[in-house]
Amino acid sequence: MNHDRLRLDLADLAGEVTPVDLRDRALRTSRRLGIQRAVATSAAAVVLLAAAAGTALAVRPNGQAPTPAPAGPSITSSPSPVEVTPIPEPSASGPTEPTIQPSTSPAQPSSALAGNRYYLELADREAVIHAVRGDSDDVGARIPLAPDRCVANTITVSPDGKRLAWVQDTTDGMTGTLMTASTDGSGKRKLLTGVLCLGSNALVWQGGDRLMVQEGVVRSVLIDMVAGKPFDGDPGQETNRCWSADGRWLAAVSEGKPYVADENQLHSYHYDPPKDQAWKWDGWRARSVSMDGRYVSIGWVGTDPSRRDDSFTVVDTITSKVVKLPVAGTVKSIQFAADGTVLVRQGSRIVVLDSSFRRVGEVEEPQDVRAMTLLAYVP
Amino acid sequence: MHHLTQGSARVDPLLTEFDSFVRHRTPALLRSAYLLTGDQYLAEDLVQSALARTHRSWNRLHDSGNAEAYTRKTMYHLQVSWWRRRRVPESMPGDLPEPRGGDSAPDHAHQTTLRLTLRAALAKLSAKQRAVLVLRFFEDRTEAEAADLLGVTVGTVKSQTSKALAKLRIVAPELAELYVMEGTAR
Repeated sequence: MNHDRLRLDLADLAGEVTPVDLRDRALRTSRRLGIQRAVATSAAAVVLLAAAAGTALAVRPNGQAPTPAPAGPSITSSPSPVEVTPIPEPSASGPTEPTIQPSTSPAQPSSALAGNRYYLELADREAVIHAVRGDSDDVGARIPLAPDRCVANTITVSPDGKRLAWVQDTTDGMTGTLMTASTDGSGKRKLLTGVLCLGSNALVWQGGDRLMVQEGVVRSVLIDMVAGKPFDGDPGQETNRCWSADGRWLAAVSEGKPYVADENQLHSYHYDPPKDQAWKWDGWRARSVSMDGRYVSIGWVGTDPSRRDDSFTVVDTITSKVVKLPVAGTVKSIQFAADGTVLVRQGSRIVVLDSSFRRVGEVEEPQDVRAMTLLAYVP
Repeated sequence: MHHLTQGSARVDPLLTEFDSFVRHRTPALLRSAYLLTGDQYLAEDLVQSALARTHRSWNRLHDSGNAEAYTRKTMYHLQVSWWRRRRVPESMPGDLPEPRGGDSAPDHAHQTTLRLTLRAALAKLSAKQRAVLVLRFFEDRTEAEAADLLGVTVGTVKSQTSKALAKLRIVAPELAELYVMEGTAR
């Protein structure tokens, strides 16, 4: 393409715009951003007082919600007054973070999915985490939402189901404070300020203890969620990263080339998306990685503004061939779980496959959660 | 942050600097924003939002010489990010701005047609694809500079540029005939 001609035509097209004075409008917007920050700070103080008075968010089993916060929708809050609060080291015997547990499951459900499925419900004023297991739907953390949508855009559950992470209290509409809590909402902590909350994959887990965030607008930082501080080491700056549930295998793109790698092996692969769809999107990316690093689920880039996964196929990273799944109908998402199972989410059900993509069974999703985002499955 | 003192003639030098920055750089920012959004009002909204964030950080930006870079980076991020991704009008607005210069009537008509075609073609690109085209071929940024502004790798800029040009050729073959293929990397 003749780029000199393109340059001239772009310049010509840009000349269409009518210059206007934006000084006053910019200052008004700046003041509004300042007010939002002040409101957020005030709300934090209010919540601190409430916390001191003994008020605490609690897990209400069977969908019983705690009384909603009286604050308006523009208020996000945190009980922690400090910018960085390290999380205490867990004991050697296991995690200290309480997680949502099914309240009434005397026997293991005879289901193809015996573990907890964590769903995100976006209500009018709060994000609600549901832990679903068999017929049990337990409500966990409730995180206030703000009009800036930072929380709604970022809230995520770690692959082991122990932690939540999200970004809140943005003052510029782009960055905010990285928060973490247990999935039941307890132990809320501030970890880092200046964390980007834009995009469809602002926060990405590497296993259960590390979280990749974007600090500012360009730099990737890996956070040690146990220590509550950046991980000591180069996080790398590859794009479109996601990890297997145990954090061992990384799927990423470097210099435009997709690959999957662990410490010892690297699989470069290619994928040709369907052309009748590909032109609509910004490209495709790996959304989930199998535990052996061999397979990735693929989704479009730019299809996740409402936090939908939208992965639609599986690619073998050794042969670069598409895996034919024993599933008929439209696929909403494909997730590889830590026990090797593959969850293929469809309209009202989840088809469960084993690690060889043989059909194990299917689970009908409760009506209440069908429209929610499936954040994680923990076997 | 300093402010004008009510009832006094004292002027906040920082605010004066910001005013000067806004008035000098807004026209150029609007041109880029117009190519990014394809719409006068969306372009104004985008530049206004970026300038507001620049104002919030003016204390540290004003003497660093990075104010425009910061504003542009903010503008590109706001535009490419999903919640700013509004639908770009694909139809021609009612009042087409008058072209610049004293072209003869046939040239004027031809150039107007080209402009309309290019605008319609840009509207069919994704936000990120438009951004890389604007950065590379309007702002004349290197691939590394474009990558820095967008917060992506050079490889991503390369691939998005390639895709954007390929899509332009598909959605506007009349432009493809005009723009003959040649190499690009710089």
